[in-house]
Amino acid sequence: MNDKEKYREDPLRKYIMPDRREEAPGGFTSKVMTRIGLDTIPVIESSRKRNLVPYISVLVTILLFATAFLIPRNDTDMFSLTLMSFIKGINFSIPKMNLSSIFQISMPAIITYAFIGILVLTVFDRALYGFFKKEK
Amino acid sequence: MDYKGDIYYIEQILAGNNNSFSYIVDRHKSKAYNLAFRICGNHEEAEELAQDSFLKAYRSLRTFKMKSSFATWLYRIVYNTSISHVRIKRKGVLSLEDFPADATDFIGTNTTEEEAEQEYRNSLVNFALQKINEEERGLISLYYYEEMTTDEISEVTGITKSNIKVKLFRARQKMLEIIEKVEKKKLIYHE
Repeated sequence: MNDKEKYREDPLRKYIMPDRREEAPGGFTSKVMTRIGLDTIPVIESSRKRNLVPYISVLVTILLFATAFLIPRNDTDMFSLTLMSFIKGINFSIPKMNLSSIFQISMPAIITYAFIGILVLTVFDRALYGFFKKEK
Repeated sequence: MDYKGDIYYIEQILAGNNNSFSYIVDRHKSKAYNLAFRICGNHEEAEELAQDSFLKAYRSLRTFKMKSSFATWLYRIVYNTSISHVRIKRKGVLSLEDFPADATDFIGTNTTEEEAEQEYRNSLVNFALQKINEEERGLISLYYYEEMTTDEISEVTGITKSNIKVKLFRARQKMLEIIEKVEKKKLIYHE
């Protein structure tokens, strides 16, 4: 509360009457509740779900890294070979390209993992975005 | 009457009982509406702003820290919503001629002279409020109508306590100047 002495000395107090508060118009609460009803049934629910997004992303990233480190080297090589042959096999409606020269460049193995990882995470991120956008 | 605090209803809402929000709206609607009205100076806009503020409060109820007062938190939302709205939609400057000459203009069919005088003073304050900037309007409203301390105002507005004192002093001076001018005009009118 304001200090009583200051209260008396303040000349503006002569004009301002705190009890002359503007009252909210009739039906105010029901209007707010209607607006809430229109868009909030999923608000609290979806906010709960949306809060999970970073955890899901972190979990998937950890799994991906774990997979990269735990899968035996030979199997991974098989996997990357399969992936390369799949990429080379894409020749529908796009001009045939000679990809072999590109993939013959000797790269450290980690780049292949990183490339695949980014690709998987991007697809996963788009899927999550699509799912939670729908929820919203 | 069974009185329950805001925290009780907030916990109910967070548990999924959306209807509990109506108790919160009922309890704080006039304070929210009054603050919005003092800042924007228009009843229709004030209603819209107060409703928007409640909606914002509902949507971000999870971010509300139960340790602080819900009213202060809500005031902050209303204050920021109203200030941003007024900044976007700046109106033309009111002239002294826009204000009615004296209390007799406020006498209706069922009003006494005393009520008309109160109505006159209230309108005079609203008029003076519209002549100062939106931030000052908010501070005046919180200090005089809601009778908040500078500490509480600082919590709502995010302005430092010393800065609030300076701004309140300036706003008070400006308003008194405007009121004086109107009162002088009233005297000239009666001569």
